[in-house]
Amino acid sequence: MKTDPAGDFGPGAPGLDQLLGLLTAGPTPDEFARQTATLAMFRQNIRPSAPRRRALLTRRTQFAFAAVALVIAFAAAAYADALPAPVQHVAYRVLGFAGVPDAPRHSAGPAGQRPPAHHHPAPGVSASGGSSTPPARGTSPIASPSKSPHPSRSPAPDGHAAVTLTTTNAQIAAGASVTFTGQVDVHGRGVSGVPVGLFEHAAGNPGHRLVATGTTGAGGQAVLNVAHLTVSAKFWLVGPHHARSKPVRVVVVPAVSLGVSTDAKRPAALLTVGCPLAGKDSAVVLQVQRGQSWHNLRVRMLNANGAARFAVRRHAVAREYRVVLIATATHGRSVSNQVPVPPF
Amino acid sequence: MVSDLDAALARARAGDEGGFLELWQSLQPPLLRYLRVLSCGDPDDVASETWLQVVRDLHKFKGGENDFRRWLFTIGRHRAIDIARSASRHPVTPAAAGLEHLPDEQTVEDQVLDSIVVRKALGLLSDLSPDQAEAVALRVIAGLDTSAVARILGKSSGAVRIALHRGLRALADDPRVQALVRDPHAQRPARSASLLIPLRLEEVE
Repeated sequence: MKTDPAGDFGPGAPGLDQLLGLLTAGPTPDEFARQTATLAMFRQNIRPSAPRRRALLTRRTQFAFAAVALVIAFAAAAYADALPAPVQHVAYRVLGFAGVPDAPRHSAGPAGQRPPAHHHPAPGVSASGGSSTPPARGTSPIASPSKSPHPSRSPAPDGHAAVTLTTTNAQIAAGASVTFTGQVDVHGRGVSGVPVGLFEHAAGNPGHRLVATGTTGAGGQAVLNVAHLTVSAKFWLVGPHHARSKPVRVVVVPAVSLGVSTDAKRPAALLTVGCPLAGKDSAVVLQVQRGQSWHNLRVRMLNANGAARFAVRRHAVAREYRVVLIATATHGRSVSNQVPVPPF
Repeated sequence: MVSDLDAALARARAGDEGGFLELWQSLQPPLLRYLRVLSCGDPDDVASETWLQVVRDLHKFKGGENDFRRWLFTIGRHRAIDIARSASRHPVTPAAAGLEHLPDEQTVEDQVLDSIVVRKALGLLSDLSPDQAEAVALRVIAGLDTSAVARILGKSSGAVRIALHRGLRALADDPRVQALVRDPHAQRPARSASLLIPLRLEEVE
């Protein structure tokens, strides 16, 4: 038979119920203050138990077998000249010494007429552009005549368009604008007069959307601007024949403010965190300064208004506090102003 | 029957972060409170070192929830003793000492109040003799049965029962404990029922 411990002392033990209730009460927020650090420690130090490691090994082996099978299938298709022309040409360049034939278009013409090799890593080759049925001249922006006298600025109908996207604002303050520079090249030369579209995939949103459009100018460049960015996002540029650039991530850093209010009669101070652009469920860590370093005290989640409160004891000497907004997929890490809590 | 913590333990052993988080959130509060009773310097640091050792050796651990609970508190106790030895030249401030001067009036935030009243309760427990305080802490806070407490403390089950009985009797006789009846802040029932494991009558009689 089980019973309540305080019951052993009956009505003659007043307060024991309350004491045992307090000792076993639910967790207080400060008891979870090191959750983030503990999880980081777990990630760094965990060694999965043996069955798990065997499972991983098995999966690795399966992956290796699959990769070898894929390579063999690719080589066989290359020998049989069964690959699409651009891929066949790549296979020829890699395995040509072993007898793999070149694609018909590349092998038919004189070597001097082959497009020069370029090193643009962007997936700038669209399916139609590299196929044997290129779009008719004039229907594609790339195929339109260029005003540039340089012959390379008039791209060939089957030209390989390389689209790149860069920005100098990889990290911006929340609500600020970000400027991108797009570049459309064909055969290593910039192409002017080409319409481009900038797409955005905001963190936390399932889809993407077109946020800016433009046309390349001299040198194949287009400058595009996105205003009032409040969530970290990936951007990419889409050019002719659906050629798209590699994505560029822009991290948004919300401003975090920290205020303090005290009452001369109370030994506690209230620290108020404001971070309206961080969004609900972002975490902030309260830190106190000891010497030259900052020490974590407590963690709070921001409410729907982007606010949180910490109550701290006032000590015999003033102490400096600040909060750190923990980075998430939707925003970067941010540090508040520091505030002194006056002594009590 | 497999408990939630058994399942979380299995996931944590397999390297699952969510399983470990569930374990940590369930056992970190009682571990911290137990370490506060031991007055082992900074309980947060000792708890962190305890969890570090747990994570490093988790792949070698075998057993269920109760075994894990006993293992965790055994490691915590050893770490606390190690740290107390290394800091022996510097007197350790008892957990209760820093709490005597806590304000009685209501603070600005309920959550802080929760921390304060819990720490006050731990301070009362810390005023018992060390063996009684530790026996009560392991039995009540950690939720271990008497045999597990005996193994951790290296004592017989009978000795643990005696320490428990004397500790609870001393607490019941403490006027500060009796005053909790009139303290509105102390009228907080345990919010985590799993932490409050009733003692068997025979253990304290």
